[in-house]
Amino acid sequence: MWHLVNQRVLAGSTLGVWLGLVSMLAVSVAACVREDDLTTDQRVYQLSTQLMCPVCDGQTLDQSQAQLSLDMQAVIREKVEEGDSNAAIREYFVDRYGEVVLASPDAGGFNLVAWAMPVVIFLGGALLVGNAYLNMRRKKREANAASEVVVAARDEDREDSVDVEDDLEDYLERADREIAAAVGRPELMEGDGKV
Amino acid sequence: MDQIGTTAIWLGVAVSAYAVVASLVGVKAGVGELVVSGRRAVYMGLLAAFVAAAALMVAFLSNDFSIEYVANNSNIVMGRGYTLVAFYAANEGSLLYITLALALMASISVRLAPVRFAGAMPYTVAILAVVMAFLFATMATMANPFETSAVVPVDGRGINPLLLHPGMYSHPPLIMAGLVGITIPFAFASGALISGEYGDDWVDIARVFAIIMWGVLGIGMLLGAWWAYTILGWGGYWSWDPIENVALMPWLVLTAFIHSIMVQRRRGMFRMWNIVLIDVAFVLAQLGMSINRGGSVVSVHSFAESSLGLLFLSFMVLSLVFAFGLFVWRYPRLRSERAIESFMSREASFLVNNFLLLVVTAITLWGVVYPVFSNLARDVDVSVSAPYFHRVNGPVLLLMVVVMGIGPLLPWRRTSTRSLQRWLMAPMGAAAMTVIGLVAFGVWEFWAVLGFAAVVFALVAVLEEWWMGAKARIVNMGEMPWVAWWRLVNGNRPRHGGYIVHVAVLSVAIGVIGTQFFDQRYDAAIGLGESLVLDDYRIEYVDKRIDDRPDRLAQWARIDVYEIDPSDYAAEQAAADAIGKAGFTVVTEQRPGDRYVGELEPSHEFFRNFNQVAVRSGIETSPVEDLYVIPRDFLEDDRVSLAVSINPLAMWLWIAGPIFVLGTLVALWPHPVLERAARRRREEVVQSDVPVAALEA
Repeated sequence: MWHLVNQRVLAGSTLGVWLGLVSMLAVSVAACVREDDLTTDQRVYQLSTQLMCPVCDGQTLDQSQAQLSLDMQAVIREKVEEGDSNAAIREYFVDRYGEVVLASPDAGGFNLVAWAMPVVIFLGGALLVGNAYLNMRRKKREANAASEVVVAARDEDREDSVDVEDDLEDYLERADREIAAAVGRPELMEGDGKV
Repeated sequence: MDQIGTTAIWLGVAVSAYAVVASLVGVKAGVGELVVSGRRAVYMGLLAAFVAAAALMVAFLSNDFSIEYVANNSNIVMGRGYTLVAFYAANEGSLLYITLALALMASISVRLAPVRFAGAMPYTVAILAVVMAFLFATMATMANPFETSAVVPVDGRGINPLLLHPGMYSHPPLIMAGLVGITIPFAFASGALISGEYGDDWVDIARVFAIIMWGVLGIGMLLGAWWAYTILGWGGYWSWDPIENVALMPWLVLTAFIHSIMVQRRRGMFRMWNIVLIDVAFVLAQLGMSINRGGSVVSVHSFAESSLGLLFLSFMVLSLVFAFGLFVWRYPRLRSERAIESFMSREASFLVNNFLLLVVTAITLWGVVYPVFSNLARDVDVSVSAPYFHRVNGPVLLLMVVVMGIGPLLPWRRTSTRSLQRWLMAPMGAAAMTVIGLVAFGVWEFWAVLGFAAVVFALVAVLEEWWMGAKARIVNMGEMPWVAWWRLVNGNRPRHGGYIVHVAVLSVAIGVIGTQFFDQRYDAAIGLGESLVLDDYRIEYVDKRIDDRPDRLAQWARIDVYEIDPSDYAAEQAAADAIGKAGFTVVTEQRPGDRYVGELEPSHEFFRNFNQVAVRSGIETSPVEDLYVIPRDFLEDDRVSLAVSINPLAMWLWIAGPIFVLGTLVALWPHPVLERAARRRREEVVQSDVPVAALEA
């Protein structure tokens, strides 16, 4: 019985991990620029959400009304119309203002750390939680085995009584649901189908 | 005034310090009078903060520019209504404000603390008083709002123009109060730990205050988002700015806390974990206050910037050491006596919920500190802004929505696969239909479709829960559906209040998906009488208004909005497409089929004193989409440069607000029967521990 549950948990956490990995991969793929499909305006807008306004604290170009921001967007428009790629335009601004002009660091070199850490956090957290859960199970199992040997009847009595009290609310809740599900379905009820 | 204020602040330092000493000495020496006197000193701290705040208010009202803070944040022409906001518009005053807020909440919580908790109270009072003493002392020595200047200016500088808005009454004070208020549940948890009364009594009062702070922070953030979107013309509502993030992180951890604390109340589990959560929330709130005080990161919110950032950071480190030390010290006594029985149980789903919330918190924290890290590690400045957070947090938030759907369907302890399958049928079916429907209508954006499906899944799960509960009442007692629903909700307010909040969160999710994946943006300059045709709107620049004053140049564009049939303008559109300007076109005449929708009057103001531009957007809103217009610049040749966005489903972000408040209030509303039951259950568990110990001995 227990080993079945554990397998299910393992399967569950593996699934979770995979989901996380696939999500992150897919997002990075989805975020790849499809420059060719976009109009000039869309590309200018896209780039202006990816570049920070150097003189306004913490705002991207599209959010800022500062003159420099408007000028930079004009430069972007010019370069898009000249046929430059998004990467080239970003590079152009990085050369002038430094890396700080990019709204999110490029995933390369040292900045790989920035992008790898979230995955590490997710996987590390999943590992911790899974481990804590399995530990709990193990202890519970050991405790059950021990209590069977040491204190037989009396302890079980006690546990039962606590459990009954404790379960009453859960039980009533479940009963409510079942009744609700059965109402109007006489075949599930004894008698005339009225509660 | 300045003397009264300064004196009050020093008195605040004195009584808070006294409260710490009296409480601790009183409890150690067993002198009841000292303990009571320590508690009353907290009330005196409130009085001191109140007097100081009143003095500052009077100084503002009487234009007492000999006080530097008043001179810097007010002027003669400023409306008296804004005195209240000028009060906390910058560093010193906002410090006084959070001191007042903390003193008030500390006094209320100390007054309301149950008698059962008396054994731990001196420690709780001491912790509250330490934080109060820190705030008072910081004001007294480093940031006195009553500092006077030798040269008294004739007129003040005035408040930062971006803050001159009614939103200023709600968003900043709510966020500041919410952050500092996390001290309360932290103090109760720590007090219980120190005293050794590690039972669950602290949980009840900590839960109430945690939910209040969580609600206050939540609504504060939502109001900030609304303010930014509708008024400030930042275009967005949430930009993952560091200051926004430091308010979001404690909120996320509190969210985890108010979920997992239910498990402790209900099943006596997660004891250690709950302590960890409230500790982390408290430390993150300190981080928030530290970053608010400026220094380490660049933010759009640098209104209260000062050199106090480092001081608050040190206080945060001290809190961290204290909380961690306390935890390690009491660790052996915190074990919960029960284990999770099945992975398919509500307690397990809370575990997953906690995991996801903390992952988002940790990732966000990483994003906030990475620029500092990069600077230290290789001396290169980088920015970490919205595009980064969307990618790394988006998928986790999506998973969270899914868990939000499954969790409520799982009963406590365990369930059978079959029963779960039966309950999952409706939500899964609805989610599948959503996917099919969206794809059929040509919505192909992978993540958006997945997001909508997850939202529908979670929504139907909540509705199913309500429907099943209400159905029995409707059928058996002949109640009207909404009466049945309301009585169902009232039967277990903490739970159903939570579900109502879930609906609010899903409403936010709808708005986020709509605006993030389907927004369109057009930038164009048009002259008077010209129109911009985009999507199925025509917006006409009708008139402009100018108000040129010594302190500012304000300009308004009057814009008429028409709904059109795009095919009427097909010829113009084709011509525009041909020159690569697809998306919009400028026209001078109109078609008879155009239907007038409304008039917008967005503005653009330049403040000379501050060399700062503030814009106000014009929004034509509907549940389907917002038409959003910002005048970016009024050009010399009478043209106006407009940024026009179409933001689908944006309204749902704001609809969430009232639902969120309702849910929070429902969850908070006292529930004597349930509380008694929970207490009885705990006492039984405690009592039943005794025979086991006796047997082992």
